[in-house]
Amino acid sequence: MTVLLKAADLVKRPVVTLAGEDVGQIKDVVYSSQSGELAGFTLNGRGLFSGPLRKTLPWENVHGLGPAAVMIRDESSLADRKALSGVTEGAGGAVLGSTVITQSGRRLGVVTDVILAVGETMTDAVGYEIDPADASAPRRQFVPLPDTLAVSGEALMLPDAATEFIRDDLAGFGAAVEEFRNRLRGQAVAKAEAKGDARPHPADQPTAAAASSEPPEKRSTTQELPVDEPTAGDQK
Amino acid sequence: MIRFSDISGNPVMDTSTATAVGKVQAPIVDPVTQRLIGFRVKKSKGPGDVVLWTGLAGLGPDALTVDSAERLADPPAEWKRRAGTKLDLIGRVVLTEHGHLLGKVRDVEFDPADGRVTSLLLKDAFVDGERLLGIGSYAVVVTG
Repeated sequence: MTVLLKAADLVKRPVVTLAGEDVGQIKDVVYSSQSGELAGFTLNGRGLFSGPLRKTLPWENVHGLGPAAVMIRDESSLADRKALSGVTEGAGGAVLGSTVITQSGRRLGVVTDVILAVGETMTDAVGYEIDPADASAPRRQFVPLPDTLAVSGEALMLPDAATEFIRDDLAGFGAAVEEFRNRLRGQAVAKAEAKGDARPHPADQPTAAAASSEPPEKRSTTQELPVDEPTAGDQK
Repeated sequence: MIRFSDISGNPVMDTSTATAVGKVQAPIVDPVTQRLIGFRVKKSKGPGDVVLWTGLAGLGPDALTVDSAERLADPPAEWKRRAGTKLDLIGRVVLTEHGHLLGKVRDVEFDPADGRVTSLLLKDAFVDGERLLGIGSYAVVVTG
């Protein structure tokens, strides 16, 4: 199953081995500059006086990512600092603070956070939380991202269609992202219910299944932050 | 099955002298074998404060028995850290391997015959002993 969460919520989350030892905590989230996917995390030490760790945590070594902790197999899951340099950009660097502009030249707002879809095996940056340029809009909005996107400098270009899928809260945003991406792929999702109705519709399921490149867990996206989940024994 | 809370604080009796040589303080659990490997004992009159499971003469509802106070000794080197207070099971938070918080360990239920941990008791949940993956200084990690 997939949950949507804000990248900023991961910061300070402890990194715990399966043996139960905390080896660090998340300092920052690092994205791949080519695809916008999550590349990994930089780490701080645990404890009051510990500074940044020299180790990083590549995403493929994450065993589990939950509301209480980021789990890794053991300390060998940590890589050294070089593993994440070069191809990636820090969350505080290229993404946060850049302006989102549509291809037709409308300014949507400034990126304040990145929304991640976290599944059991893979994760993806699916949208941005923005501070809207339009003063009459709610204080924050969520815009979906295309599958791939160049995260470059001060501005991010989005297709015009993205404006239709802007949501004011995370509930329903997962479905909006899905529809947006399906539309960009030229799928025939231009059905009437694509507008407004954010809930996944049973009629949408065949279309989503037809998009073969879509990872299976995307279809069952639950639209809630993982902190709201029931805890005991729900991970079977 | 008995729960650790049923025997916590019970006296450890020396069968050769019929005197109390300590009180049961905490269970020591090996997460790899998911078994109790012994108990930490307070007010020990022996050379150390750990009695190993193999050194017990009896485990009754009202007392632990040993055949000599010498059984209360320092733990062997491989269990030294495991027996310390920093890795105590009771009171430690429980995380699943996917990073979900389940609660804190309130009690441990084990098989008195072989020391197998059958379940961890949380505030409002049971965790099967076989789900135990690790007991560390930060958390108890379980599968699922």
